[in-house]
Amino acid sequence: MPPAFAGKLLQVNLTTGDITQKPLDEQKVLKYLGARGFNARLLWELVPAGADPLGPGNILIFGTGTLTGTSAPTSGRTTVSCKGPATGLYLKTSVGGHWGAELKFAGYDYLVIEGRAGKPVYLLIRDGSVEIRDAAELWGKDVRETTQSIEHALGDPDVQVACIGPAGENRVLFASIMFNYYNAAARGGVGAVMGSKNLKAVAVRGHGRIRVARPQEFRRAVMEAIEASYQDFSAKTSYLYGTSASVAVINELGSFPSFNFRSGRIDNAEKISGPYLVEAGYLKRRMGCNACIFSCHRYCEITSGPYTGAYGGGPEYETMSALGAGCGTVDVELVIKANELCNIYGMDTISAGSVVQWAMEGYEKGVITDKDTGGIQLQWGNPKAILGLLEQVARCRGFGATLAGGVRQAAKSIGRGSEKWAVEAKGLEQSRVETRTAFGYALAFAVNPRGPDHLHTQVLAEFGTRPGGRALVAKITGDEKYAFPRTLEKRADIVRWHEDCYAATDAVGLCSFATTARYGVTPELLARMLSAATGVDFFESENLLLAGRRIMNLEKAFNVREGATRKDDHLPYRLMNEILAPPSGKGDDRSTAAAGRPDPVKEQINSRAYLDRMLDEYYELHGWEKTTGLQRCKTLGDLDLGDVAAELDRMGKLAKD
Amino acid sequence: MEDANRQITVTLKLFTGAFPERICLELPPEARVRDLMVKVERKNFKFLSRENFPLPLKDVAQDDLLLILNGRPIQNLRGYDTPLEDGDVLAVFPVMTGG
Repeated sequence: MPPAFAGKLLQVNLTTGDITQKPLDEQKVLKYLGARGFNARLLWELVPAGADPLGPGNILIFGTGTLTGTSAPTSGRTTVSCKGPATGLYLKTSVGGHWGAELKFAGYDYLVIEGRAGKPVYLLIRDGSVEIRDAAELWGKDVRETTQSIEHALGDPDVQVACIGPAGENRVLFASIMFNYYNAAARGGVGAVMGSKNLKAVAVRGHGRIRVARPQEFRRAVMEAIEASYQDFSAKTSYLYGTSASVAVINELGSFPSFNFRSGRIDNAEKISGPYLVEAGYLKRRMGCNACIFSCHRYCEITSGPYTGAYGGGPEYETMSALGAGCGTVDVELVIKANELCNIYGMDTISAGSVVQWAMEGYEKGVITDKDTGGIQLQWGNPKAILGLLEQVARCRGFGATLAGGVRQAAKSIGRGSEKWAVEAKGLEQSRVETRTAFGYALAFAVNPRGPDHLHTQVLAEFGTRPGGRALVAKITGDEKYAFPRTLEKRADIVRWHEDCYAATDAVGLCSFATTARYGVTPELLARMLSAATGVDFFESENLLLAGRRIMNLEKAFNVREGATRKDDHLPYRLMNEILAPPSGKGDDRSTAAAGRPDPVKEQINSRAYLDRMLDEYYELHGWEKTTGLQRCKTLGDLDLGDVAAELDRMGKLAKD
Repeated sequence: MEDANRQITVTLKLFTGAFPERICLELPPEARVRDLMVKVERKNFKFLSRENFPLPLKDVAQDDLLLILNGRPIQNLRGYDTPLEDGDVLAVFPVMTGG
């Protein structure tokens, strides 16, 4: 195995108790770059079509990035993959922190969990030794208690613990896996899959080292990447204020999802922003993941008032919108408390907020009544309602049991038109991006294999507000004028480039804040770091992006094998059918035409016609068949995915060339 | 007949901290965003010394600030050459990335 890898894959079958260590297949790992890419390959090979996501036939993969454990900036990422229980489709989640690096220090690049234990267990991995341990004492404990119990039991405060809380045990379809208290693999229900396997935690400790092939060259590339990242002033604001720095900006743009996406603005949004966390004294410290150079993660605490003693990591931008503005409140203490509950119960704050606000809108409309809720009054912003529902959801009790399956299932259960304000697609609640005001994002969300969110493809460049973004759009499309979010033109080109880059970023183990959000680490720099670390010189930037496209196509193929077609690439009903009010009373584009912007779209909506036009161009660009969205043999063959094409062909799910 | 000396009033929202400093400024009718930024700089407001704010305003690279005119980033309009109108609201932020 080349340097930069620990060199081993650890496979644990919880049904049989078998623990297997395998040397990594170098050719195969490098073909998919690592982490998300190699996970996708394992998922393709090991999970048969039609497998029950919560059954023993599903697997749970923890894959480290190829550069994880090195000093490459922001290289602390780990990808967790499985078949998703919320969508029944492909699912990957990326998580920061230090767990991934620790796994490599313990001797493993990948951990694959198979089967289902007969009783609750946890896994202990220490420097090459692996034990399946009884977790009867841990079952029922929350994330904080579980992590502390394992630390105490091992007498080691530095052990890295990934665990589920009650939500995962109860198979809430948006249960997260929490890594060392505050880092979440959150989206899509990975925690429910872990719970379905009766696996409470994976504790890791390692003292090994990850070496790189050409240290001097690697160091030079790393320093260059750091310097390039710091060129952007947002590196500083990211450190000062975290991800929620942007709340006030996005509110000013009229794109801050509020009141269940009915509005793009809420009064006094500044009170749930990163700067306010600092000025009001809630922020106690800033935290960074392994090898991070931005430290955008927060630790907040409340020391007085009704929520005295509440503490935890975050809240992030997404949480401020999902549990704050989306639920009709700018009470930051309430958001900190709600965020704490989600973290200790192990729930995705985006989806948790989404189910609460969906219920609040239903209550306002009279579709959901006190009888349904057991007496909880779901007025917008009601603290008792928000906190009470989160408790119920995690325990699958009362009305919470209805919400625990996510908004799609809840709307199905309640009916009476409530699917129209269930802001989901493919079964996943949309993350807090107003896709009616940014068409690149709209396309990216519609085609995301795991459902509508921003953690597959960040297309910030389309806003044209950053020089790096504008230069990139010019490079992709040939003209900087396409760095403009209110046009349908060239969205497919912009989205596909970002898909490739994001997939490569995930696979290598870096944070998207270094690549597709801030442009400091270009694909060229990424390629240089990889070459120097592994000693394998084929990592030219085009190869890197091509590998990203291979990953994306494999993920797409997984969904096609499960029966997904073009009809699944859509957006939530509300965002396709209801017009968003303009950002201000003026709201005009008086200078837009004069500025030579292409094809300005006046209405703030993604109509079916708009999306169809973008999808046509996107499929064509990918070499996929337009009417069905199915891949072609040649497309997959060109990406060295011939065996994938052959399997799809056998199933009748391959488009004709 | 229009008054040749008529001024326009533009509201500036400067986000140097959590909450904006609001300033109403009078400008000539042909004023553009650039003119407004120069005027603010000359006034030398005390709050323009925060560590999170790239300065000086008139010299700073446009891209270290995010300027939003009536809810639209000026880069989507005509940048610093965007003409201003009476009643406009210009919000000014340091650049941020989040999500």
